[in-house]
Amino acid sequence: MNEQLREVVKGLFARDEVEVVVSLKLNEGCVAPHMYSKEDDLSSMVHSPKYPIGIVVSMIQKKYPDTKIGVVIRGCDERILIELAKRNQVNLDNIVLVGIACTEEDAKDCLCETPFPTKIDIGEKVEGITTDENIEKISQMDMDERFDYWMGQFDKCMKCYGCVYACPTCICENCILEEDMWVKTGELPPEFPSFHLIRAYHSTDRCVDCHECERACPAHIPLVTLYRMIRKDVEDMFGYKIGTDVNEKPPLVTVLEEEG
Amino acid sequence: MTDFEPNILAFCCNWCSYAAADLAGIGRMKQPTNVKIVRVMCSGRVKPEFVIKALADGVDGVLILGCHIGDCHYVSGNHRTKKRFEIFSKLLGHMGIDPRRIRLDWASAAEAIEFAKIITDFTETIKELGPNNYAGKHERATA
Ligand code: SF4
Ligand code: SF4
Ligand code: SF4
Ligand code: FES
Repeated sequence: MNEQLREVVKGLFARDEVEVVVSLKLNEGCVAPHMYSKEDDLSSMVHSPKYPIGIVVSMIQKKYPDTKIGVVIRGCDERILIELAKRNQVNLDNIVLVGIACTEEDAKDCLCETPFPTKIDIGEKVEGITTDENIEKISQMDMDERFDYWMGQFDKCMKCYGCVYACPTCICENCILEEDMWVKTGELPPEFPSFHLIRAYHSTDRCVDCHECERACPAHIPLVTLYRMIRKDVEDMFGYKIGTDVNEKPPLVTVLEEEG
Repeated sequence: MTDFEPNILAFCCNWCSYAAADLAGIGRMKQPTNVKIVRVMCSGRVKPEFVIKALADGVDGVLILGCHIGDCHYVSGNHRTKKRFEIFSKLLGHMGIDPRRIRLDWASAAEAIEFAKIITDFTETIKELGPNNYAGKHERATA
C-alpha cells in the first residue's frame, strides 16, 4: 500500500496539482508527519500508523495560506479537516485529499463507524463497526449505577490534560478546564465530575470519533464511549452528523428555524 | 425526606422571567422560599458550565427561565438556550446525574401565576429527588 501511495502522490506532483504533500515519514524507525515537496525522495513516505494530520495542516496553512497542499488522510482525518474548516482553522479550497481506506483491523481497533473517506485512492473499503458493548452496558444501568460506573472511571483521572491536547478538534486557545472557576485545580480525585461533564459537553458538536483522546489517556478511561452516547443524541435530535458537510453549521450556534 | 429543604438556583432573564418573579412578589403569591435568583440579561447567557458549577457546589436543583420562544429580547438567545439544555440534559443522564435536577422553562413578564407554579412544582420535584449528594457519594475505586 505504501508503494501505491507514493505513486498517487507522484501523480499529483507530475500534474502540478499540489506544491507540497503532507503525509507520514519513516525515519530511523520512527514515524512522524512530514511535508514533502516535488524534488523529495518519496521512498520514506508511509501511511501508517494513524495520525491526526489535520492539526499539522492547520499549522502549515496559518503560515502558508496560499500553498496548494496535498494531504494523505483516513476517514477520521477527513472528518477532522471538515470540522476544522467549519471553525476557520483550515481552508479546504487549497487542499487536495489523498484518501486511504482503513483495514478491518484498524476499524475494530477504533470501533470506527466510518473507516474510510468520501473518496478512496488507496485500499479497499470495509464495513464500519456500529455496535459498542460499553454503550449497551451503560444504557441498561439506572442513574445511580451509571454515576458509580463513571466515577469509578473518573477517579483514575490525574488531570494530565492529555485528552484535551491530543484532541484535534479541541482548538480553544484558553481551555476553560484550566480555569479554577470551573474545575478546581490541584484536587484529585475529583469530587464532582466537572472536568468530564464540561469536556463531554464541548465534544457534542465536534467530536469526530478519532479516539486520540482515549489513546492519550494514561488512565484508560473510556472517554469516547461517553462522547459517542451524546453524539448519537445530537444526530437524533438535530439530524446533525459531525464531520460530513462543511456547510452544515453546528446545531448549538444556529437558531431553531435553521435546524437540520 | 419531608424535612428536606432544597437549595435551588434559578437563572432568570432580565426582560421576562425576572419581571415575572417581581410581579409574583408584588402580588404576594404563595411560593416556596427555596429558590435563589440570579438575574442574567438573557437566558442565552446561561451556559451549561454554570449549571455544572452549581451542582458541583452542592445546589440541589437549577432552573433556567427565559422569555417564551419568539419573545426573547435578543431575538434568538433562547433558541440556543433550548438546544443547549436539551443536549445537556441527555448528557447528565448518560453520566448518571438525574436530569430532573435541571429544568428549562419560560415565563413572560405578565405570567406571575405561571412563575409561582414553576417554582412550586420544581421545588416539589427536588424534594422528591432528595439532596444533591453526588460529590463524594460513590465508593472510591481502590485500584
Ligand atoms: S478512527 Fe476510523 S478512520 Fe480513523 S484510523 Fe481509526 S478506523 Fe481509520
Ligand atoms: S475522539 Fe476524542 S480526540 Fe477525537 S475528536 Fe473526539 S474528543 Fe477529540
Ligand atoms: S487524558 Fe485521561 S487522565 Fe489525563 S486528563 Fe484526560 S481523562 Fe484525565
Ligand atoms: S431576553 Fe429573555 S430569554 Fe433572551
